Amino acid sequence: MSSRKFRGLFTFLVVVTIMITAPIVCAQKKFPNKPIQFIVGWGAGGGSDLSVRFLTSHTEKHLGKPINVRNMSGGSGAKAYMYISKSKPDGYTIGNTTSTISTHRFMGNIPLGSNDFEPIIAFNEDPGGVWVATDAPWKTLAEFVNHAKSRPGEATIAASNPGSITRFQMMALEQEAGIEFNVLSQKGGAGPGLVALAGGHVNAAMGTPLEGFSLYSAGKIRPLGFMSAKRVAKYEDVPTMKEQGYPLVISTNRMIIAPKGTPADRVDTLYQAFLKAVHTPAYQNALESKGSTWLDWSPEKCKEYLKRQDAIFEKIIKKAGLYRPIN
Amino acid sequence: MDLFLTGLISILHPKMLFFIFGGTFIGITLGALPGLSATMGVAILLPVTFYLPPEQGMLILLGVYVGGIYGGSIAAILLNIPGCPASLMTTLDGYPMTKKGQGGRAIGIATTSSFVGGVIGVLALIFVAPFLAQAALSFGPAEYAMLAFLGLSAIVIVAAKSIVKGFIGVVIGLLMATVGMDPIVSVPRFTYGSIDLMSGISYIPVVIGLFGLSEVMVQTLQMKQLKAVRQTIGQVFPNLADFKKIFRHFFHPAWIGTLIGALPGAGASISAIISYNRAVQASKKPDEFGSGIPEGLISCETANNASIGGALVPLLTLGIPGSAVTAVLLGALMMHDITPGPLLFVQQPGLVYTIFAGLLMANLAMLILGLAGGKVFPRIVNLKQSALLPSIIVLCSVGAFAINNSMFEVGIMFVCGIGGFFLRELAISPGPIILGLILGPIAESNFRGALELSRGSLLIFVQKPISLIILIVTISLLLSPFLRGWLLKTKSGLSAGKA
Repeated sequence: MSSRKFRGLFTFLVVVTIMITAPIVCAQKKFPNKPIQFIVGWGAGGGSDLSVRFLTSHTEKHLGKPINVRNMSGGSGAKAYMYISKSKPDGYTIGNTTSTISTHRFMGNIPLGSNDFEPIIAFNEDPGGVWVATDAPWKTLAEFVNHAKSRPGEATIAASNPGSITRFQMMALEQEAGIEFNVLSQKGGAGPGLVALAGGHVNAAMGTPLEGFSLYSAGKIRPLGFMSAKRVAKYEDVPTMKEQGYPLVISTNRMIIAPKGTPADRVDTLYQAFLKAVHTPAYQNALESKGSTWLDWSPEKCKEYLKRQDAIFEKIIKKAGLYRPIN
Repeated sequence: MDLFLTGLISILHPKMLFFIFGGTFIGITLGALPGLSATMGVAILLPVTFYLPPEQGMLILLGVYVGGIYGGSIAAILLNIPGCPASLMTTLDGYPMTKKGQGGRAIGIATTSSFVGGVIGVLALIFVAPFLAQAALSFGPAEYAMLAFLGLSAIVIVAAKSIVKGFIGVVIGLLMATVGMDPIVSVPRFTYGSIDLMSGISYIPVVIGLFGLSEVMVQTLQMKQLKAVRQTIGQVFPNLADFKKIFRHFFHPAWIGTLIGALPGAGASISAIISYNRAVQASKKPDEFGSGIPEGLISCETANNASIGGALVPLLTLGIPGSAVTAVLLGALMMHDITPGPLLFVQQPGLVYTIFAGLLMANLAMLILGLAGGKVFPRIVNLKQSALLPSIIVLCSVGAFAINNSMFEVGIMFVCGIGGFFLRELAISPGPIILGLILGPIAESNFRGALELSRGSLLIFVQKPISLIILIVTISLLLSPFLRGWLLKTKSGLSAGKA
């Protein structure tokens, strides 16, 4: 073998070795080096799906890699929770949650709860609320509660079916005020209930400021109070339930989670990227302009919140007689 | 009017026209493929529109919507597989026409009536939207329950050959609809611990299995005996006689489609079911429906496309999504920081009138693309069966998988396909099963919801005027076959008496 040929072969081998090992070496140093898979546990085009797609569209440039959203709906997020928990905890598979992260285990649907995941960020929340028709006689929540009290089981209210956050918010109000509504159960979120309210088929309906915003702007319905810690943007003249003497603070809280055991530095990389996205004015305006609230909670803050949320739902679910946890 | 003209001029820009035609083309393609529906098309393209100005984004999505609802009828007519649930009724008269070798003519009629229906729906949206929105709000649980029963009474027609077998089919569909979470008390029913079954059996894999796969099985068995009917492509553009038929029959399907489309929770498939139902009842020759007559095609194709304009009424005037597609459209608007509702007309009239003009243009795009494609599509049926049938199986599997990216739906599709084959051998047709599966959940949750409100009293269904009217229509529909027979008898009795 001539030295020239040998040199050629040697160079070739070096190049090949570098090409093979470089991604591995880089992979150990740099996260992420391939697209992230984002599991959405709800159908394409729904509220949870849209909020995620909008957020990830602002996040990709900060992360440097694409985020591929994959819908895996089934059992109100249950199927996606199962899938995420079984995925490799390497930060390349993440997903979103609603309050179902707390409720599923207590109700015996799946053996997974908030402790089985690593929260990355909480990015949005929508508090519960009570709505009546614009021309209804009740001006405050107390007036409506008194009406319901004087006629037990007669005042009608539309709320999503049992197990949904909307329904738990209604039950919390019932338990707090010591009243009992005649409930119209509706499948598919609070939307249909608010439509039934606008059509005059029920006295009241449960719904978030976001869900009621269109009909509120159309002058068909108005809120009596929201279950938020402070007043909601776009609804500054609507007192919270707390202000009105009903200390209820219950929200639909949306978080991003990773499987348990995902390395802390990778969780942090993801958190920093999502944090920048949440702080984009376009993102914040899009939420605030219709009565929704953006959040930028760190993983630690999320963990604390989840503990409190678990306690709240455990209590409500026990009182409602639906408590049958799987461990 | 000035605003509308401005809107019209703005969409005549080549770029806008490209978006509309592109969207409509994608919609027709997705709609024609079993399992890929208008809803899915709009949802898939939604993220793309984040990067476009709201007008352009909406035009693409509206094109997909219009094209998708129409595209389903192509597969329904040529292969007896409803491309999407809205074209379920189209199979009844469309496929028999293909069997007679008139696939091209059927597509021409379906396209033209879709166009007529679509345009009327949009005109209703432009001119009587506030009135329609108010009418839609007056539908509560009692009214929806009665509407679902009216739809279920359509079995009398779908199963014209044997009412008993039609009932068996509907009951199978209703039983399948009970799987999943109970809509009122949220207790899992017949899920056997499966998370997949918790959200119920979705009707798209069932439609694909019952129509697509079992059709392939039936045809495979007949392959040796039958020679495939060659399609005479000929003239796709409807001839004068067909035009006259469309002109004579478009009116009722158009208003039924628009009105039912405007009801949140009803939609394209239900409007087609009820419109077809009405057409058979009003016809002097009800027996001919189902044998491949243009009147049947006109009634359902006009109605399901008219429902698009209707469905946009509550969306644009009240911000209420009336169907799965409009829910995605609502999301698209919101992502662009636009809140639909009466204020939209005040704050962003430009966008509203661009949407109106864009919808009209999308219907025109559908007409042009559909009639042009009508010369090409029927050739599919002329393919060798040994090539066509396996491709349909592949399409069915891919379509079922695409619904939720899961093999579970593919499993449902195969089970329904094989089950559907045996049911066909027993002369139980798939139509009533789908009818039960689509209408079952609406009937159940609203019937029980109404009883919750009335505290168990059935009187709620006769105390509410709209509910009472629909109830009377339903009962008279159910009795009409018997009444007609009785009338004929008395008439012949009278003439016999005279003689």
